[in-house]
Amino acid sequence: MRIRVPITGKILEKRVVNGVPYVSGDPDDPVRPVDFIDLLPAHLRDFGWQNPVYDFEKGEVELEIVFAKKAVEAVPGDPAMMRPETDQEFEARRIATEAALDDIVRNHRAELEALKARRYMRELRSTGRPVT
Amino acid sequence: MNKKVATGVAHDTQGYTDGTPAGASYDGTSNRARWSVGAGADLDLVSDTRAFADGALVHVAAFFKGGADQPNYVKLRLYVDGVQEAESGFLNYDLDGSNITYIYVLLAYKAMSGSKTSKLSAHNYDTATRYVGTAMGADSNYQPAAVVQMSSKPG
Repeated sequence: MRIRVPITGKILEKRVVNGVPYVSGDPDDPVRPVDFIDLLPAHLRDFGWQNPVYDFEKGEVELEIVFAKKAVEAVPGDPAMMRPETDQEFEARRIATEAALDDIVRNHRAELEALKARRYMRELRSTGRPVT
Repeated sequence: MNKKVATGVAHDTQGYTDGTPAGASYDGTSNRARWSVGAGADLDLVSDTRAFADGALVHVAAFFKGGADQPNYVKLRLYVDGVQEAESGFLNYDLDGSNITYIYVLLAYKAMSGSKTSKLSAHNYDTATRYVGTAMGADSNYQPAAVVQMSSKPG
Protein backbone atom coordinates (compact mmCIF):
# COMPACT_ATOMS: atom_id res chain seq x y z
CA MET A 1 0.00 0.00 0.00
CA ARG A 2 0.98 3.64 -0.39
CA ILE A 3 0.19 6.32 2.18
CA ARG A 4 0.68 10.09 2.38
CA VAL A 5 2.01 11.59 5.60
CA PRO A 6 3.41 15.01 6.60
CA ILE A 7 7.14 15.67 6.40
CA THR A 8 9.50 17.32 8.83
CA GLY A 9 13.09 18.54 8.72
CA LYS A 10 14.98 21.45 7.23
CA ILE A 11 15.45 22.11 3.51
CA LEU A 12 18.80 23.65 2.58
CA GLU A 13 18.41 23.90 -1.18
CA LYS A 14 15.73 23.42 -3.83
CA ARG A 15 16.34 23.09 -7.55
CA VAL A 16 15.34 21.11 -10.63
CA VAL A 17 17.49 18.17 -11.80
CA ASN A 18 16.51 16.42 -15.05
CA GLY A 19 13.15 18.13 -14.81
CA VAL A 20 12.51 16.72 -11.36
CA PRO A 21 12.43 18.92 -8.24
CA TYR A 22 15.45 18.09 -6.11
CA VAL A 23 15.92 19.03 -2.49
CA SER A 24 18.94 18.93 -0.26
CA GLY A 25 18.19 18.50 3.42
CA ASP A 26 20.10 19.49 6.51
CA PRO A 27 22.18 16.48 7.64
CA ASP A 28 21.52 17.51 11.24
CA ASP A 29 17.78 17.84 10.64
CA PRO A 30 17.01 15.61 7.64
CA VAL A 31 13.89 15.95 5.55
CA ARG A 32 11.78 12.87 6.26
CA PRO A 33 8.30 11.64 7.14
CA VAL A 34 7.07 12.32 10.66
CA ASP A 35 7.32 9.33 13.00
CA PHE A 36 3.83 8.14 12.12
CA ILE A 37 4.46 4.73 13.63
CA ASP A 38 4.05 6.41 17.03
CA LEU A 39 0.31 6.44 16.31
CA LEU A 40 0.15 2.69 15.77
CA PRO A 41 -0.26 -0.03 18.40
CA ALA A 42 3.12 -1.47 19.42
CA HIS A 43 2.44 -4.84 17.77
CA LEU A 44 1.70 -3.24 14.37
CA ARG A 45 4.84 -1.15 13.89
CA ASP A 46 7.11 -3.66 12.17
CA PHE A 47 7.27 -2.61 8.53
CA GLY A 48 9.52 -0.58 6.30
CA TRP A 49 8.94 1.91 3.53
CA GLN A 50 10.66 2.77 0.26
CA ASN A 51 10.28 4.72 -3.00
CA PRO A 52 9.15 7.98 -1.38
CA VAL A 53 7.63 10.70 -3.54
CA TYR A 54 8.11 14.00 -1.75
CA ASP A 55 5.62 16.80 -2.35
CA PHE A 56 7.38 19.83 -0.91
CA GLU A 57 4.60 22.22 -1.90
CA LYS A 58 2.08 20.36 0.26
CA GLY A 59 4.62 19.32 2.88
CA GLU A 60 3.78 15.64 2.39
CA VAL A 61 5.42 12.46 1.19
CA GLU A 62 3.89 9.38 -0.38
CA LEU A 63 5.47 6.16 0.86
CA GLU A 64 5.33 2.56 -0.29
CA ILE A 65 4.88 0.43 2.81
CA VAL A 66 6.75 -2.88 2.68
CA PHE A 67 6.58 -5.91 4.91
CA ALA A 68 8.94 -8.76 5.57
CA LYS A 69 8.65 -11.82 7.71
CA LYS A 70 10.03 -11.13 11.15
CA ALA A 71 11.49 -13.29 13.87
CA VAL A 72 9.13 -13.98 16.74
CA GLU A 73 9.84 -15.50 20.12
CA ALA A 74 9.68 -19.29 20.00
CA VAL A 75 9.69 -19.28 23.78
CA PRO A 76 7.55 -16.40 25.09
CA GLY A 77 9.66 -13.91 27.01
CA ASP A 78 12.99 -15.19 25.69
CA PRO A 79 14.31 -13.01 22.85
CA ALA A 80 17.25 -15.40 22.40
CA MET A 81 14.93 -18.16 21.18
CA MET A 82 13.49 -16.94 17.91
CA ARG A 83 11.66 -18.54 15.00
CA PRO A 84 10.41 -17.12 11.69
CA GLU A 85 6.81 -15.96 11.44
CA THR A 86 4.48 -18.46 9.79
CA ASP A 87 2.70 -17.50 6.57
CA GLN A 88 -0.56 -17.10 8.48
CA GLU A 89 1.01 -14.92 11.18
CA PHE A 90 2.69 -12.75 8.57
CA GLU A 91 -0.47 -12.25 6.53
CA ALA A 92 -2.57 -11.46 9.59
CA ARG A 93 -0.03 -8.86 10.75
CA ARG A 94 0.17 -7.30 7.29
CA ILE A 95 -3.61 -6.97 6.98
CA ALA A 96 -4.00 -5.56 10.48
CA THR A 97 -1.15 -3.09 9.98
CA GLU A 98 -2.50 -1.84 6.67
CA ALA A 99 -5.94 -1.33 8.23
CA ALA A 100 -4.39 0.65 11.09
CA LEU A 101 -2.34 2.78 8.68
CA ASP A 102 -5.42 3.45 6.57
CA ASP A 103 -7.31 4.56 9.67
CA ILE A 104 -4.52 6.95 10.69
CA VAL A 105 -4.31 8.56 7.26
CA ARG A 106 -8.10 8.92 6.91
CA ASN A 107 -9.15 9.81 10.43
CA HIS A 108 -6.18 11.15 12.37
CA ARG A 109 -4.75 13.97 10.26
CA ALA A 110 -4.47 16.36 13.22
CA GLU A 111 -2.45 13.83 15.20
CA LEU A 112 -0.13 13.31 12.22
CA GLU A 113 0.47 17.05 11.93
CA ALA A 114 1.07 17.25 15.68
CA LEU A 115 3.92 14.74 15.36
CA LYS A 116 6.07 17.46 13.80
CA ALA A 117 6.20 19.23 17.16
CA ARG A 118 6.38 16.03 19.21
CA ARG A 119 9.46 14.88 17.34
CA TYR A 120 11.43 17.93 18.44
CA MET A 121 10.33 17.47 22.04
CA ARG A 122 11.52 13.86 22.05
CA GLU A 123 14.86 14.66 20.49
CA LEU A 124 15.46 17.45 22.99
CA ARG A 125 14.78 15.00 25.79
CA SER A 126 17.21 12.49 24.31
CA THR A 127 19.97 15.09 24.36
CA GLY A 128 19.31 15.94 27.99
CA ARG A 129 18.63 19.57 27.16
CA PRO A 130 15.70 21.22 28.92
CA VAL A 131 12.44 21.10 27.01
CA THR A 132 10.78 24.46 26.69
CA MET B 1 6.76 -13.66 -32.53
CA ASN B 2 9.15 -10.89 -31.78
CA LYS B 3 11.06 -11.33 -28.61
CA LYS B 4 12.39 -8.41 -26.69
CA VAL B 5 15.79 -9.08 -25.27
CA ALA B 6 16.85 -7.15 -22.25
CA THR B 7 20.18 -5.48 -22.73
CA GLY B 8 22.48 -4.80 -19.88
CA VAL B 9 23.39 -1.25 -18.96
CA ALA B 10 26.96 -0.83 -17.91
CA HIS B 11 27.22 1.13 -14.73
CA ASP B 12 30.26 2.73 -13.34
CA THR B 13 30.49 1.31 -9.88
CA GLN B 14 32.40 3.94 -8.06
CA GLY B 15 33.50 1.83 -5.16
CA TYR B 16 31.81 1.68 -1.82
CA THR B 17 32.30 2.69 1.74
CA ASP B 18 32.04 0.32 4.64
CA GLY B 19 32.63 1.14 8.18
CA THR B 20 32.16 0.75 11.82
CA PRO B 21 30.98 3.77 13.77
CA ALA B 22 33.09 5.14 16.56
CA GLY B 23 32.33 3.95 20.04
CA ALA B 24 32.13 0.24 19.35
CA SER B 25 32.67 -1.92 22.38
CA TYR B 26 33.94 -5.48 22.37
CA ASP B 27 32.84 -7.57 25.31
CA GLY B 28 35.81 -9.92 25.09
CA THR B 29 33.76 -13.06 25.49
CA SER B 30 32.55 -13.65 21.97
CA ASN B 31 33.07 -12.39 18.48
CA ARG B 32 30.79 -9.42 18.61
CA ALA B 33 30.80 -5.68 18.58
CA ARG B 34 28.02 -3.36 19.56
CA TRP B 35 27.08 0.30 19.50
CA SER B 36 24.63 2.15 21.68
CA VAL B 37 21.78 4.14 20.13
CA GLY B 38 20.24 6.82 22.33
CA ALA B 39 16.51 6.96 22.98
CA GLY B 40 14.71 8.47 20.02
CA ALA B 41 18.03 9.14 18.30
CA ASP B 42 19.95 8.14 15.18
CA LEU B 43 23.35 6.42 15.16
CA ASP B 44 25.22 6.95 11.90
CA LEU B 45 26.62 3.56 10.84
CA VAL B 46 28.36 4.46 7.62
CA SER B 47 28.36 7.19 4.98
CA ASP B 48 29.64 7.63 1.44
CA THR B 49 30.42 10.88 -0.37
CA ARG B 50 30.92 11.05 -4.12
CA ALA B 51 30.79 13.63 -6.91
CA PHE B 52 28.41 13.20 -9.83
CA ALA B 53 28.02 14.86 -13.20
CA ASP B 54 25.12 17.24 -13.61
CA GLY B 55 21.85 15.32 -13.64
CA ALA B 56 23.39 11.89 -13.06
CA LEU B 57 20.99 9.09 -12.21
CA VAL B 58 22.37 7.49 -9.10
CA HIS B 59 21.68 4.17 -7.43
CA VAL B 60 22.19 4.12 -3.68
CA ALA B 61 22.42 0.77 -1.93
CA ALA B 62 22.95 0.18 1.77
CA PHE B 63 23.51 -3.10 3.55
CA PHE B 64 23.64 -4.04 7.22
CA LYS B 65 24.38 -7.41 8.76
CA GLY B 66 23.52 -7.79 12.40
CA GLY B 67 20.74 -7.10 14.83
CA ALA B 68 19.60 -5.36 17.99
CA ASP B 69 19.67 -6.22 21.67
CA GLN B 70 15.86 -6.33 21.70
CA PRO B 71 13.44 -6.77 18.81
CA ASN B 72 10.83 -4.12 17.92
CA TYR B 73 12.78 -0.95 18.73
CA VAL B 74 15.48 -0.17 16.14
CA LYS B 75 15.06 0.46 12.41
CA LEU B 76 17.56 1.39 9.71
CA ARG B 77 17.23 4.65 7.81
CA LEU B 78 18.84 5.54 4.48
CA TYR B 79 19.50 9.24 3.97
CA VAL B 80 20.62 10.71 0.65
CA ASP B 81 21.81 14.31 0.74
CA GLY B 82 19.86 15.06 3.91
CA VAL B 83 16.60 13.49 2.71
CA GLN B 84 15.38 10.13 3.99
CA GLU B 85 14.78 7.69 1.13
CA ALA B 86 13.97 4.40 2.85
CA GLU B 87 13.41 2.75 6.21
CA SER B 88 13.62 -0.89 7.23
CA GLY B 89 11.41 -2.88 9.52
CA PHE B 90 12.62 -3.45 13.07
CA LEU B 91 15.97 -5.14 13.46
CA ASN B 92 15.60 -8.60 14.87
CA TYR B 93 17.37 -9.78 17.99
CA ASP B 94 20.84 -10.80 16.89
CA LEU B 95 23.27 -8.81 18.95
CA ASP B 96 26.16 -11.21 18.70
CA GLY B 97 25.57 -12.53 15.21
CA SER B 98 25.30 -16.06 16.56
CA ASN B 99 21.52 -16.39 16.80
CA ILE B 100 20.29 -16.01 13.24
CA THR B 101 22.12 -14.02 10.61
CA TYR B 102 20.06 -11.16 9.27
CA ILE B 103 20.96 -8.96 6.34
CA TYR B 104 19.05 -5.77 5.66
CA VAL B 105 19.09 -3.91 2.34
CA LEU B 106 17.81 -0.41 1.60
CA LEU B 107 17.79 1.11 -1.87
CA ALA B 108 17.21 4.47 -3.51
CA TYR B 109 17.41 5.85 -7.05
CA LYS B 110 17.75 9.58 -7.63
CA ALA B 111 18.94 12.25 -10.01
CA MET B 112 21.85 14.12 -8.46
CA SER B 113 24.44 16.73 -9.28
CA GLY B 114 27.73 17.53 -7.63
CA SER B 115 29.15 16.13 -4.42
CA LYS B 116 26.56 14.21 -2.40
CA THR B 117 26.61 12.16 0.76
CA SER B 118 24.51 9.12 1.57
CA LYS B 119 24.41 7.55 4.99
CA LEU B 120 22.91 4.55 6.72
CA SER B 121 21.73 5.15 10.28
CA ALA B 122 20.11 3.10 13.00
CA HIS B 123 17.14 4.81 14.63
CA ASN B 124 15.96 3.86 18.10
CA TYR B 125 12.20 4.26 18.57
CA ASP B 126 12.39 3.26 22.23
CA THR B 127 12.50 5.58 25.24
CA ALA B 128 15.58 3.74 26.56
CA THR B 129 19.03 3.24 25.06
CA ARG B 130 19.27 0.24 22.74
CA TYR B 131 22.19 -1.49 21.07
CA VAL B 132 22.92 -2.65 17.56
CA GLY B 133 25.55 -5.30 17.02
CA THR B 134 27.37 -7.34 14.47
CA ALA B 135 29.71 -10.27 14.31
CA MET B 136 33.46 -9.84 14.27
CA GLY B 137 35.99 -11.79 12.27
CA ALA B 138 38.00 -14.60 13.79
CA ASP B 139 40.93 -12.25 14.13
CA SER B 140 38.73 -9.85 16.09
CA ASN B 141 38.83 -7.28 13.33
CA TYR B 142 35.50 -5.68 12.67
CA GLN B 143 33.74 -7.07 9.66
CA PRO B 144 32.05 -4.56 7.39
CA ALA B 145 28.87 -4.31 9.39
CA ALA B 146 27.39 -1.65 7.20
CA VAL B 147 27.99 -0.69 3.61
CA VAL B 148 26.59 2.16 1.57
CA GLN B 149 27.34 2.58 -2.10
CA MET B 150 26.44 5.15 -4.71
CA SER B 151 26.92 4.47 -8.40
CA SER B 152 25.84 6.11 -11.63
CA LYS B 153 25.67 5.35 -15.30
CA PRO B 154 28.73 6.75 -17.05
CA GLY B 155 27.95 10.03 -18.75
